[in-house]
Amino acid sequence: MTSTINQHKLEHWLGNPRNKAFWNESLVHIRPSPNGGLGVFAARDIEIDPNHHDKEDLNEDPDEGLLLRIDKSCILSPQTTFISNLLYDAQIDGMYALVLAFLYEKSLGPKSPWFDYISTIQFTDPETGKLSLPCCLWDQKLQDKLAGTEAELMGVCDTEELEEHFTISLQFAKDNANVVAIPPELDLSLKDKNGVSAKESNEKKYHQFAAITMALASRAFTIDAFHQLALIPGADLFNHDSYGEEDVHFEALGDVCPFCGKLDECGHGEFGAPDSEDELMDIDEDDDGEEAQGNEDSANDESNGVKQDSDDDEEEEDDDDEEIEEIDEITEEYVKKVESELEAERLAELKSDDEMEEGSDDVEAGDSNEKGDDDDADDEDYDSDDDLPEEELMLDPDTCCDIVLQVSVKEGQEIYNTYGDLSNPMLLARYGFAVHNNPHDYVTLGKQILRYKKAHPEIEERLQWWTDSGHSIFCEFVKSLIKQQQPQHVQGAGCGDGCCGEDACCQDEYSEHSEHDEHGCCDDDECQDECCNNDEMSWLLSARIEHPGAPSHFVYALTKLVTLSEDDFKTIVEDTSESHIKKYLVKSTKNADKVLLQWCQERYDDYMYLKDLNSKQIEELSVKTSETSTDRVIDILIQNEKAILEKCISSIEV
Amino acid sequence: MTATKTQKPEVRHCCAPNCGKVTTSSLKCPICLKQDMNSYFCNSRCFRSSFAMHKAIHKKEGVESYDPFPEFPYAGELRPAYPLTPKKEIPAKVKLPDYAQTGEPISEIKNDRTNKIRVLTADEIKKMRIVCELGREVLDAGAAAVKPGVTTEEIDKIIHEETIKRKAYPSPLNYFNYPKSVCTSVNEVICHGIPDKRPLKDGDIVNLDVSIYKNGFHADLNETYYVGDKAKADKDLVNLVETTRESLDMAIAQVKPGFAFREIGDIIEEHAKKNNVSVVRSYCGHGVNSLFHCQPEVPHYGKNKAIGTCKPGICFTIEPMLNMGTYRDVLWPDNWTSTTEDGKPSAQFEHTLLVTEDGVEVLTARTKRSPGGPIPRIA
Repeated sequence: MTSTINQHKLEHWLGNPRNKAFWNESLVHIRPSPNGGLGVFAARDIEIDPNHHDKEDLNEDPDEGLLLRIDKSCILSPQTTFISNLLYDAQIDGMYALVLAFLYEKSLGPKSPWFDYISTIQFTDPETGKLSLPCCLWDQKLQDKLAGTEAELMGVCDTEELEEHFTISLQFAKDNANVVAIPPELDLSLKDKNGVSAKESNEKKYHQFAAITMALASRAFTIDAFHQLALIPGADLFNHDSYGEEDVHFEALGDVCPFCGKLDECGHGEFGAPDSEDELMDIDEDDDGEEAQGNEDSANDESNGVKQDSDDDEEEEDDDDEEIEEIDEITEEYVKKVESELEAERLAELKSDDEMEEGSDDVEAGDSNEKGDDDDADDEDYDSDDDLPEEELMLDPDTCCDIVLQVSVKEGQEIYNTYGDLSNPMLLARYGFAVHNNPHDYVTLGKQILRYKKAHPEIEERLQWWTDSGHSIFCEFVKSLIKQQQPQHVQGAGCGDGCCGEDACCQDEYSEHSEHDEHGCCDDDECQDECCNNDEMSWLLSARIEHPGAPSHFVYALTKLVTLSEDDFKTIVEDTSESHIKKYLVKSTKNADKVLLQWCQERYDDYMYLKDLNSKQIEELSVKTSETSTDRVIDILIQNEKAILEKCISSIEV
Repeated sequence: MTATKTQKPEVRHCCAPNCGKVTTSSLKCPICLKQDMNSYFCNSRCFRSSFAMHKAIHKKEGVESYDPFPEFPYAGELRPAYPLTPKKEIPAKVKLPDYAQTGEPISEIKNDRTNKIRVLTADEIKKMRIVCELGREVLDAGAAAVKPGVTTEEIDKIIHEETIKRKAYPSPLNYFNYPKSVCTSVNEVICHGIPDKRPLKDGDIVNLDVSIYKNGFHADLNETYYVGDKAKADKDLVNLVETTRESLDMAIAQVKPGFAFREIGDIIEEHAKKNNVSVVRSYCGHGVNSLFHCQPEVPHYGKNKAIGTCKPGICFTIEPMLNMGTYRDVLWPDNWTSTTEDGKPSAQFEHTLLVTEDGVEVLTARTKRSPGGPIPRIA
């Protein structure tokens, strides 16, 4: 959840035309959310035509659900920070680069263009005033509570990744110390100072780093092929909705040139990557006759001290495809003809330019529709005396990130985004919160199955077969089953086929809180390639009870497998046709149910910390989201897992 | 590249600046022919696609010079004075940059807007020092010729010849099909003025923007000069020119490792505001090395979000353009000349800089003999 303080600073930042942002104050307000921190609320009833979700349409009616638009040059990313070249030289990208960009910008204080935004981000728990730390840095007591939970199984208490991240960041700071001052969080002490031991002060810095990293992970968006992960002031105010009812979408054209971020005409497509500079074409060699044209296309580039206005280039009329008119002699008549044609084309172009200008109806930066009068008071650093050129104020939708409302909302209603279809352990690991009754939760039975195997040596052969081939064959079967049920998103099937535990497949702990589909790590195809390996680990992870209490196909199959008669097992090993799978591995039996019950009960008993809550207490936890105390988060997490198991158990007994 | 009579008539180059290839074609521009020039083109497409540029060298009957865009709403009093002289020859001994033939700087286009900023090796820095020193000599030679009555084309000729004399290539020549070897920006011209037949007048200011290429590296520098004593007596003009000169020096003084490129604009804009002049926003300083223009991008206006930080071994330019009136610019139909929107004068100064371990080295620094230089403001 967002911990944003001092919202006025943020509103001030968004309202400054230099920051090329448009915050739709006529539609939404920022104020404290009952979920904790700030949230975004509808300022009035907003009607959204469900068929109107095209970015193009927004140009016709900028009010159609556009809540925030900000130019990519003004988001805080590894590509927009002052240390961008240092990050490039160090070959650091992704989340590591974003954290460094943030730390260095933060260390500049008011000299950073993002100062107002940065100062709104909080790294401490508003209730306790303590740093909001990732699970792996919690007190042992709290970590112990997680014992036996899916979160523990997922390794949320493992410090390895955080330590590696910190080490790499320290190294970067050290390597660049001769260029840029080391930010305080990365400036480790070698000696004790003022009665504080070096160890103690360094641990404090490590914790600050961890808290910042977690805060950024919960705020970062995946932008495009160039910027990758970035912070978007304002966009991170929307709280998370886990129930598939998010109100807004994040939109940005992602398919840009990975080298320069341009949408097209950047030259990298035509001439190759920047680092292929040593293989430059020798000018004496290119004689293929097609090169002569179009060089003005790439000349409209202001960055190089050279500004070309491609609008009225007089010599780019020729299409490469145009046939060469065969002439024996350039006569004066021919010259006249060329001249009059060029003139006609020039006039036509001028005319179309004029028309384009009239037609444009873009949103202007800093324009927030109905700006309240009292806002003018704190405008002193907007430099109202020097009016910025119009072309710098107009926001080009193609180079912007948008937050767009997707559904109609009522006045006063909080507006939610989704950070992805994430289970509570994932939410806890990435963002430090959990939600009650999370539909993406599940409980795995891997440990119980292994225990069962130990107690029943006779089934070892069967589980070996399952590891070697049975599981992957069954995976295919489930996939085809799901395809038949499509196109509806299959509930609980985190990666489409439920065959991979999300931790096995979403290695990247810090994914973005944009669309689930965008992070692309649980895509069916990739899933098949990367995580459905023929090893025990992968099928153990797929043996889970899904929310709200339904065993996955894999759990059923395993309970069947271990209870089949010797003959039936032989039959299916010999012939794994679909009908055999259906007959032997899908339909439940009494014996299989008994095994399932045993596993579930054992799983239930494995919780080290079992806090029994009465229904009233659960009610108290049922706020949609909660970022408050860690204990409450753990309670929610365990309560949800317990509820899943209880439901499963009761359904078996019935 | 034969616009005039070639010495070796057997080797013909297509006259289209976007082609420039060797050709066996005998298609000639009939208008050039009438004016005693042989301009060959590969085919009708080369002719047609470049005609708008090519016709700049055509004389007009009965007049010494003419305005090629009589309908254009010029912002100030300055007018282009055509015809231009044909493109100048480059001897074979001079190494060409990749755009010399077609105008297309492919190496630059490939490097455009990535966030890599090149750090030069000690050997490369040596080459940069040499080419920048030569660049200074060439600019000084051009500046020495600045006086009332001299045309900007005559200055172009001097700069071209001084460049060639040093076995260097005049970087602007055919860069995106730019027709000359130097940019000469008079009075309201902000930058990229094309040398032509207009004689400089007492009371003008003129900027000479010299760039040369040698041993694989470019030097880039410019200065604004007062033409005659009348300009030096114009209080506002002196304020503009000297403020611009000072703003560059003040920005340079801050350059050292760790200095963010986006801070440069704050320094320049602050000094400009203090002296009641404005900062042009459309044109930026840039990285310069084996590429004429590359990263970093260095805006001269305040509160910009340019990316990157100074690191020892990075070479770049700062080249503030300051205007007496509005900062807004307009482009002439030649697609190069940029003038102020209100027709009031604009001044510019530029150096090529090298970030060192503890500061900065001005590679194109003035010498004791350099013409021009600061003059006191008029009270």
